[in-house]
Amino acid sequence: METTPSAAELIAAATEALRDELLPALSGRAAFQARVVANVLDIARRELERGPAADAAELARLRALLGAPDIDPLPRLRAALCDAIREGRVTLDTPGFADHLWADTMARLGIEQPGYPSFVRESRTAAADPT
Amino acid sequence: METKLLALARRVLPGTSAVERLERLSGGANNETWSFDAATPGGPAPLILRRKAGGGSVAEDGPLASLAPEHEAALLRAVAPAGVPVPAVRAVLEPGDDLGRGFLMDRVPGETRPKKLLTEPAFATARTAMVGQCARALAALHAAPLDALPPLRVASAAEELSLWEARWRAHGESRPVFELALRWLHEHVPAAPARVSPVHGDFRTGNLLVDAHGLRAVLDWELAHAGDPMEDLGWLCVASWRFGALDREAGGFGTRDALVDAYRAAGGAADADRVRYWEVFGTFRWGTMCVGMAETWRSGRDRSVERVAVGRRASETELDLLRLLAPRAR
Repeated sequence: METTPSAAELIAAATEALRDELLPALSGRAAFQARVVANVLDIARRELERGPAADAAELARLRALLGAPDIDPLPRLRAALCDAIREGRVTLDTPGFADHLWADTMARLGIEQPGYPSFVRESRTAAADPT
Repeated sequence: METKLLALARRVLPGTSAVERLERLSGGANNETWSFDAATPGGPAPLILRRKAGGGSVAEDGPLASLAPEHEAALLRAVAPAGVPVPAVRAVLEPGDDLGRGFLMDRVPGETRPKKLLTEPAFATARTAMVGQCARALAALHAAPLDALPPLRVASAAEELSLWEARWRAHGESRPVFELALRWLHEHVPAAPARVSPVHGDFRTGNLLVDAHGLRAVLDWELAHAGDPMEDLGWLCVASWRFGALDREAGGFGTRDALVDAYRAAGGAADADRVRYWEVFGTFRWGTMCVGMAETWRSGRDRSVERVAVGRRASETELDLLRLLAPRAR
């Protein structure tokens, strides 16, 4: 059993206290800023929780897409894909490319802005029609 | 501040005895907006002071620099008689005012907050009127002769793209969706428009002041320039300005088709393909601005938490770019 709070749990506790106890005591600009702070903390917590899995999935897809099993860190693979797009070597006709962009963008938005209307719409569509 | 504002108010409205209800409104990084009432013998006169934030912002220098406040004031004065609803400019700040650079204008009563405009019953009538009113305001602006306006930077679509691409590249980010969008934008650059027009540059929900009857004033003219008039229509359709009303592409209050039709009805030459081009461009541009805000925070120029938070909104524009350029098969 784990008893020491993880970084994500610390942030969850701080966000909860901010929203439930501190925010009701604030008004005007201070309240607005406190809400922004809570949102920022939510993003950080979700990234701690889900970022590593999103990174691993992105890495696997990029290696397959670029046929480059040996290139490591993720930033180099991302830069390599950007070069290929700029130079026209990878296009929307390239198998797996559009799927990769969709998968990665949806994963990142789930961490960064899960309430964003376009994301909510696309999540529902994907759930209703899992093809 | 209050003493200086009183002197300024007296210059414009002789007999002003006091400055009341002074408050700073939240505004952009480049401008401060102050709201106050001038107590005059005839009653309180509601005013807004818009001025450059202290020292200006480094990121706004260069070819994409925003309008000088003196030029912004002159532009407001020039477009008002053409039928573009704008606040009346009362005075341009002078060195003797000791308030920096900016101008004083009337405070028009109304609402700018998007969520309220797009959801509250009080604005139901306004929402149905907005498409037509926005189309007429834009058609009137775009028909204004450039030589009657203060100097505006002129940029073709290709030049505008290269400027914004340079700004994007300067951030050094590797983001495949942005790369795809840039590739698409380069491949689809529209030919020169029939007429180079004054363009507002930030015509969107949030910068439109609305009352129960609809559009009362178009605000925030600092990004005005001269170019393709379809840029304003495309920017208004960027998904980020729909604030949840996803299927009403035009600012969350009307459809893209209705906007194009109303613009034509108002005498404007609308081109739906160009509107789409500028919608894609605008989505990329807003994404670039989001990343720029995080950079502004990191550089120390503005340490407010809102700045850094917006930096994590670039992914919203990535999804909207995918929805435009690579929609999933349904």
